[in-house]
Amino acid sequence: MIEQRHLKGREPITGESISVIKIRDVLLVAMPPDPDDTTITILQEKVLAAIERYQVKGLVLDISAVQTLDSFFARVVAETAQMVVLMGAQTVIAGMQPSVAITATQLGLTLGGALTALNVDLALEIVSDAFQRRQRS
Amino acid sequence: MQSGDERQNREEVLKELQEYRTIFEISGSSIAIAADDGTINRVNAEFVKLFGYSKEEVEGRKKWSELCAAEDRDRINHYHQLRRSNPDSAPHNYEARFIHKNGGLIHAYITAGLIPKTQESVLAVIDISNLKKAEETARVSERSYRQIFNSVNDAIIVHDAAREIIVDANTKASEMFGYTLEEIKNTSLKDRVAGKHPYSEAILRDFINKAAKGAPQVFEWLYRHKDGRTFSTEISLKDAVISGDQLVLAIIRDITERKRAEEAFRETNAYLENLLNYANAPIIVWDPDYNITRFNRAFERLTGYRADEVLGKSLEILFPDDKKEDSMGLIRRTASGERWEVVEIAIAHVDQTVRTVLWNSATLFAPDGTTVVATIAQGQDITARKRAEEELRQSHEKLESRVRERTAELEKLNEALRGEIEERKRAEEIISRQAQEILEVSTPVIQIWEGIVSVPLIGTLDSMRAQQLMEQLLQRIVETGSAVALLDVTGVPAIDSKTARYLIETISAVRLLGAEVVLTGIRPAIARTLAQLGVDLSNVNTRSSFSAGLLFALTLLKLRVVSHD
Amino acid sequence: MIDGIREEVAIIDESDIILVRKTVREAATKFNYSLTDVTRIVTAASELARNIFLYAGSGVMRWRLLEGNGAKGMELIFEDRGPGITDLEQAFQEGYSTSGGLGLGLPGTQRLMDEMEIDTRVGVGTTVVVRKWQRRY
Repeated sequence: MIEQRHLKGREPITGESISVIKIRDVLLVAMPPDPDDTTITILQEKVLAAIERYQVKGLVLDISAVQTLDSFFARVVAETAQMVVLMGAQTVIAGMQPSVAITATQLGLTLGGALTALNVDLALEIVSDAFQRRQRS
Repeated sequence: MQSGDERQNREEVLKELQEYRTIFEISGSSIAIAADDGTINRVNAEFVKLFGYSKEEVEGRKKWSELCAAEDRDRINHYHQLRRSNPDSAPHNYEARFIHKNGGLIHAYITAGLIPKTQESVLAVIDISNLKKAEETARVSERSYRQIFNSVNDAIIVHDAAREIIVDANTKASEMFGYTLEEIKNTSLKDRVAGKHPYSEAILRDFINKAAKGAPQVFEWLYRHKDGRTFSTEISLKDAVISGDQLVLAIIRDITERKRAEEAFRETNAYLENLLNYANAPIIVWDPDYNITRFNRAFERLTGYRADEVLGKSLEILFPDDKKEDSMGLIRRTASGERWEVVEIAIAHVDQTVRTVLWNSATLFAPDGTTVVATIAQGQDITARKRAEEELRQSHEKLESRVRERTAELEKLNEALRGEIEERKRAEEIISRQAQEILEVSTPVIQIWEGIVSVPLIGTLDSMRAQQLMEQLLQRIVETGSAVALLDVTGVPAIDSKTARYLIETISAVRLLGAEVVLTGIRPAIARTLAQLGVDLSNVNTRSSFSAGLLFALTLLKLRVVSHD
Repeated sequence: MIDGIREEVAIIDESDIILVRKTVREAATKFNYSLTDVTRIVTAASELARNIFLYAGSGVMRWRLLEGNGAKGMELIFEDRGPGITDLEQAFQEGYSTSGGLGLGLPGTQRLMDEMEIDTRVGVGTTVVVRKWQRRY
């Protein structure tokens, strides 16, 4: 018996439902486990708008829940990181799963100018650190 | 009675004749009496003296014109005849040249006249040879003066102060101005001024007037050459009275070259001055009494003093109080010509801070080669460098002591690892393929420090094991929150391109997590293979030994810690 | 017709990529693949599904289990009636892309899986078959 999956089987996840949180001068975004392309695109727009509005110094993308990081997702992250740099802030990808990291490596993905951190705590430290360094120089 | 009168008359005439004869004989002039045909009838003693002939040789034997020099003979004969035909038209006085008996030339001034009622001439001869000689000498001397006048290198212009015109000028003057002597004469010294301020006619007239009143003037002046160009001169004006005329002598020297040299010198000087003043290095010059004579901008910045505050003061003020004597002692040695190689001397800033400066100096000597004129020193502020060195040293010490604290423990751990490696090597050789599975699963990922995990790779890595290892390592990194992973390949006998790719993939995956890999124990054989395979390890942290890798890992962690406080 | 097909998912719009991932993840997890292998398979499926959506417009994904010679595995079949791939060799070059800069696709996907087969005919369509064998411990 072949089981057929249909459109009605989808659970809707939309970009609007993902929150972009501002903590002091850092934007924190927690990615859902399996975001679709539309969600990712909407999220990118939300993030860039928020950075412009709040003049934050960093974006922390918490992907600890993310199970699949494919080329589309990786490209949007890399693009976003580059734009964030142009807006004078820094992107840190936090909490990537080991299985995701291995897969991403074998697939040949790169994250552009984004920094990485083991978890959100460390990511927040990196952001403030990088900001201080830039201010000093 | 008549005879008595006649006799008395004759006696009177005789007496008179006697008197004249005496006058004739003792006269200071040479006198000759010549007959109508020019024959000399009578000469006096003075004549004999002048011409060298005795009376007997001349009287009645020589004609007047015979004594005359050949060039003047015709003229003499002409006068002689003229005097008899038309006495008024013959010159009463004239000059002529005569020949002495010995052949010498006699310049003579002749006064001639007829004796009344006779055809005889009286000729009075005055020797003017000496006068002639003097005249000649004067002529020669004037010529040589003119020659000197014309050959000097300065233009000389004789200016008539009253008429305000040039009465004479030398060749150099016409060369200098480009006009001929005739063009210059009768113009004024004031002509040909360059015209541009302050070289105007009015000002030059003022100089000339002052000189005419007896105050010599020396000044620089800009003239215009006939071809239009201007040239610099130095003029010396002095008054002089010649033949009653009030004159001003102008000696004009072309100093265009000198001015150009002066200008070049000034430019060079200004350049050196700027070089010194705006050099980035502090530069100072002091005299043999250790007083500061030069102090550039960089030195002002170094010390906070302005140059005018320290010039002329002793070098001492530049040093911190507790080092004045040492530093001055060191500097005194430079006076003996001893050149510093590079010397560290502390300099005090006005704000009480002390800067460490590296100096080198050179002593400047007078042309005699022994007298010290000045000493110049150039410095380099190494305060920041010294501080950085000190900080680096301290941080090194701290790190080393921390490492030492844990060395024993690490060695124990290393020992255990080595034991395990040995054991595993032996096991690998004997244990069957089935047993290997268990071994692979237990590839140890050990947390050896807070924030550091370590994996020793042993034996050949196939793709299965390599993937498994990658998963385990990444898992442990996340579990322990370790920022650094030490990957020790001491136990890997050989490496192929596949294994190398796994290593690179592992390193990339670890970085995606937000941690860093330090690769240790790459033996030369493996390094060579990696190079041959074209594996680029340039942006991978590698250390030769496990302990060096651990030290580096600690440094990575420490840097992170430091950057947070 | 291929025997043993367990499920099939129609790929018609972008959100179906998520459905493919969800389907493949459930199946791979059920058949005891390690988390990393699950991630690999799902990511490969995501790449191939997106290729269909981007280049062919629509298509289908089917999967089945493989068993034989003491080895167990999973096979995913992606089929479309799109324009076909004119230059397969070029498509396998690293960084090659005809649309949207997602050039990592084929070589990266191949690295994630154990086997890959492509059958393509210009103007007819493309079938991509990928397999992942279970690791023997």
